[in-house]
Amino acid sequence: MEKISRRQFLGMSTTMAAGTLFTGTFAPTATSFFGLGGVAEAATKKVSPFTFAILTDAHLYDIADHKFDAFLAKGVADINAMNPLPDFVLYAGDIGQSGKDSELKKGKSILDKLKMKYTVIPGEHDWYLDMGKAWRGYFGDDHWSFDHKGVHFIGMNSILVPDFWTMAGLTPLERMGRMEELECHKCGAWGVGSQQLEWLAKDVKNVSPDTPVVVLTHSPLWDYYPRWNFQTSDAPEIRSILRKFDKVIAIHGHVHQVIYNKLGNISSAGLLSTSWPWPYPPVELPYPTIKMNRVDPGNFEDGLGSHAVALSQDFDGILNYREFAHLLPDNVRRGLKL
Amino acid sequence: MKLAKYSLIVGVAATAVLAGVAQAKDPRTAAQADDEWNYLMAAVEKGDGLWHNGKLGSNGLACGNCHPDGSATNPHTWPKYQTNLGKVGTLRDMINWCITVGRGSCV
Ligand SMILES: [Fe+2]
Ligand SMILES: [Fe+2]
Repeated sequence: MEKISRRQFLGMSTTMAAGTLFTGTFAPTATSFFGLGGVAEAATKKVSPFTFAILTDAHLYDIADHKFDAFLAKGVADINAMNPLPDFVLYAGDIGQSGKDSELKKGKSILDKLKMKYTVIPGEHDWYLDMGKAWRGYFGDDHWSFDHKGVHFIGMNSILVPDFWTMAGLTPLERMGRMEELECHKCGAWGVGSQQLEWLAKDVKNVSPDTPVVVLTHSPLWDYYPRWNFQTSDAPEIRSILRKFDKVIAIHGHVHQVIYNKLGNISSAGLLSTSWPWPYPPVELPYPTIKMNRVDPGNFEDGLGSHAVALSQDFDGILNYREFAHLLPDNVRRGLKL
Repeated sequence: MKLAKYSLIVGVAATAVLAGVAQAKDPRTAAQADDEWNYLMAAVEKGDGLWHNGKLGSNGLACGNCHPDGSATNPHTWPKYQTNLGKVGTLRDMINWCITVGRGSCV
């Protein structure tokens, strides 16, 4: 039995008193040696503790020395300076702004400066000029899974919309232009689509329910603000496929802001961009104290940042928003409990 | 209380007058109504383009990048003291600042 020090206890009480991040305890491991099937790596409840980093939403332009290039480079440098280094880096989409080959190429050359391996999923800004052709050339599959130190990681392409361009006779450039607008009324709601749903069901079929799972998508797996595609239309199906797991940590880009929600066994958190922050849409948030403050327009780094997620042996996750400036309230700055 | 009641009466009266106007015979010919509609829609199209195409700034960013649906512009709060302007400014001043030295410029 591990003892909790007074200081730790006080720390916990403060967190709880702030009415925020306490998401419940998780039963200790030990019982999970049955029914492991063929899944050797991930099929244990124990995590060998580690940290991974996340970057997202660089929105690079095809313009030399654009200020967003420097912000992405700053995120990369920040992660390279972490001590100890994170095991790997995840990138949650929107590397480019207009899906141009040159933007994605520039993004890859900056990300290649990371000292560790990185894995990427696409955002809508990467995709709709050539329907992901250039992106796949640089970054490979748009959905994937891997196991690391006892955790099963899943990444999916959540920005697939039904064809709105063929009937309207739009050129690829016009299609991309529409998708670049957050409030695009003609583009419709996006999701992962039936193929990826089938793939996901298959992927987790033999992964035992006590396996810690981390899911990365560009958009949130819940209906936050559908008007800005702060949603994934087939999130209910995804959540039901993942329901068998004791605990899932879901992380998403696209919203360019601090946002947290918990849906059953899923803890969900949004990320800061390295381009520009978005204001909160006019909705009541389920956890209203987990927000960033209003951005100072005179400080272009305000609202931007990189991220680190530390996972403990019992799969408690702490998400640290490593902001470039100073817009986080103290309760968020201390780290978001996932 | 008295004032509120008075305002209410004025409001109702104004609504009635406006409703009356709306129901009056359209003084325009069909062609004139078309002209008016086309003029309005051209202005809407132009405004939508300026808002989204990034041609107002110098680094590709459009107003719409950071302000979807015009959010976080708070038009009703201007004029006010604005730190980045260093003085009391109008919304127009703030827009120009965004385009010329803010996030939408290459400075
Ligand atoms: Fe984005
Ligand atoms: Fe996005």
